Amino acid sequence: MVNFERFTLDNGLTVLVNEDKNTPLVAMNLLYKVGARDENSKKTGFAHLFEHLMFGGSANIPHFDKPLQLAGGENNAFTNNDITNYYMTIPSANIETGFWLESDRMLALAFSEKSLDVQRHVVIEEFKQRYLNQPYGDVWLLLRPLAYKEHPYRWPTIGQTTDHIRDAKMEDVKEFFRKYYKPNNAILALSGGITLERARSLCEKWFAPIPKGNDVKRNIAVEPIQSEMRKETVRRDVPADSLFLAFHGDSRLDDSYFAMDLLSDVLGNGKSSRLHKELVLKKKLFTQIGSYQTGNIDKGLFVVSGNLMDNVNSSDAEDAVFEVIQKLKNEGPDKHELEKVKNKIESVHAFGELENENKALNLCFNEMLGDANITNKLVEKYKKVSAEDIRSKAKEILKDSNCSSLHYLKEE
Amino acid sequence: MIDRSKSPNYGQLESIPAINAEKIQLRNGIVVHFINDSNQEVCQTEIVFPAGKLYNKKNLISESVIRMLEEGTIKKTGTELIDAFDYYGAYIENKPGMDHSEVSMYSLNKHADNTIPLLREMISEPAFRDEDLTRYKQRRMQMLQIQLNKADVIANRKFLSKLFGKNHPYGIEVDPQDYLKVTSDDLKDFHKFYFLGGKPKIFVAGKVDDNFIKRLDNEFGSLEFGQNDHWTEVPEQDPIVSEPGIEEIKMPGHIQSGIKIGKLFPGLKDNDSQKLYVLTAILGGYFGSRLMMNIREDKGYTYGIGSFIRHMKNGSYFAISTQVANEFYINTMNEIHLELRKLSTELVEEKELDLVKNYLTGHLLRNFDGAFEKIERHKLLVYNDLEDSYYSSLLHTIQGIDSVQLLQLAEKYFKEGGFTEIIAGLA
Repeated sequence: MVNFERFTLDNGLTVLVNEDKNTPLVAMNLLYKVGARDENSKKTGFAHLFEHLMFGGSANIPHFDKPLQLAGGENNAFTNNDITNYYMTIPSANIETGFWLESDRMLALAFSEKSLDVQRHVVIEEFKQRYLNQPYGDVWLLLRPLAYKEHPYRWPTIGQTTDHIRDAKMEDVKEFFRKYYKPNNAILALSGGITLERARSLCEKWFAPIPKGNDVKRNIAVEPIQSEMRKETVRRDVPADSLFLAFHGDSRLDDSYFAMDLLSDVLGNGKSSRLHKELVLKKKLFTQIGSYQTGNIDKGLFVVSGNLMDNVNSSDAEDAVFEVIQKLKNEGPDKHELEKVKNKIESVHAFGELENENKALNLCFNEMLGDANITNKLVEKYKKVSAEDIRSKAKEILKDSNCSSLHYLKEE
Repeated sequence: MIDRSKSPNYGQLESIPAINAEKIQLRNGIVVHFINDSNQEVCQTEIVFPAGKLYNKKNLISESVIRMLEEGTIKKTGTELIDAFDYYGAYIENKPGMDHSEVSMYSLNKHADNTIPLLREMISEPAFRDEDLTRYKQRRMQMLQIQLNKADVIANRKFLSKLFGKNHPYGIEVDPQDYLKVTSDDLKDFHKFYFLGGKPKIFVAGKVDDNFIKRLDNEFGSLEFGQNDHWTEVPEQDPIVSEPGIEEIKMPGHIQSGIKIGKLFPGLKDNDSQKLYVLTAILGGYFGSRLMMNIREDKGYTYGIGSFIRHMKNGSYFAISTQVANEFYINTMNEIHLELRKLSTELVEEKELDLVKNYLTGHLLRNFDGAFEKIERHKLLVYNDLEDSYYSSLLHTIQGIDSVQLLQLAEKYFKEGGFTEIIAGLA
């Protein structure tokens, strides 16, 4: 249970505070409601590149990291398809430094050409390191455009190609900042050694003077309903064949999201799941296999992925996956399986609440979904899911016509 | 209007919180170190055996024993065992290591009556069935082959091999084919000798109530462990022989190169050890470090570069690690050596030193935030037989070190060179 207070500044910044008297540190999390789904299809990877530029100095402060390090703080950020999130942890006594730094880069960036130039290079190296110079690194560069034809989830956060990053212009940076980096498009959470009063007065001092921006209007393309199975086969210099099946699934905001999440656990979370028991242990077709879902704000993907045993034909392996799915559609999960995945959710949730950094992020994320207090109701929502809910979700989404299949094979 | 160009006041910490680990003995003498936080509903239980790679007489035995534990016991198949843990929401993580093999369980305290017996069964009654071993070997061979396609992995393996010697357990580069030689008898023998032949140590953090301790005593206190002391008696190894110099490994098709540069360093009990921690932090131990500022933030050659020190039971080393665009690897090597030379010829400026001191102090404080962090710090003390005052002494070193001391240190360790340098990729 995370107890918190909420207030909103006149400029629209929502603030959430969870005081924890047991720690001498504060976690400060600032979520901007902008991600790769907000990008132009000709300029992909921009939200993430922009995140790098947020460390390149702001209107009144030449370096972001140095003053934070001087105050004993540590910080980082991440971007995904839906959000861009900045977080830091800093000794309570020095928390005002955090407010000063975060508020100044919300007010205005330095927009330095040097920083843009260097970070273009850094991000291209990141692109290579994570997606191009790793075995299987380009899977998501292939799978996304196979599964999505219209929706911007068809490119990954890093971007569809390094060319888009190389071509990023300062005018794009300024436009992006003007549109999305506004107090009314952000949520701030503080968790740890800070009182509500102190949080409020520091917010008033540092964030309240920042002018409100225009409301963000999104016009994100809706993904048309898929009508037939899509298949792609690629060959790469990898030691083992792999299979990826992506099915269109729910949004985090859908009521049936929780049933879909538990479905992915029953089917393929860990060594006691159906896919592992049937296809690794019994049929010996895969060395490992699992399933999970992407948990996006718009309709996400339900993914099955596995590495094949040597000399197993990937089409046979795919058929075998569909047999396991069919069995689950026929019978649904049994009582033991259902209780098991629910107990596991309870445990995951409890471990997720150990650190103030996680608590601050969860508060922001759930507030964006509609109410920070969702975080305290999640376990109950999962507990309400019935075996029949899971079975009907499987029947609804785990079918050929909703599937994109990628056979990622070693070179012949 | 507030003046946004001026930093708010900030202070420096004077002390770090005490760890206050409690210690009890189970009825058979096993020592349990624990940090109780009654606000939690979860806990992390680690059973640690002095049975890492260092104890191998044959490649891959130590890591295979610990990984195979979850493949089943004499009473349960692997699926039944994992299903039982899963049912109570518990996670098992079996961690092989250079010196130790650690079995960790993350669980809800309220299910302790069910999970601790499972944990005990997994550890004391493993089956090591041939059928499971065959499958395990296939999976791990495939995983290793995938790893061997990564430039940074290849660079790191060669680096350790050159640093410790190709036959020393810390340096051996295992081959996927080595898995074929692993037999269930090897695993049973290693398990009998190193897991049951002497006493493990137990570390618990989170909610540790009386019932939890009672359960631990019922399960682990009733086991009969042998009288060996593998914590201090380590099998004889090849002597450590370091080979300095540059080695380039060509990996066709790779668009980045993995770089590893480093050398052996003094251990944790050496007088220089804590000061070297500060020195390597300045070089590459945090985002604002010299290597990051120069090679990433100024030149854009890499997504990341860093330096660190690793301490193991029989050896410690220092390393710089990065992955860079192929076309910049020579420039990167040059810049790394330039930074090493600067540290050993020029005094660190006061401003930079203040920054790194404050950063490291804050970092230390974060490393003591909560029971789960503290137990990790406590483990380091136990593993290395260090005094409780180690961390306050570290804080004292961080805050007291001056630029002359740092220069002398860099002269001693960096100036003469003697680095082992590996570059893999280069295509």
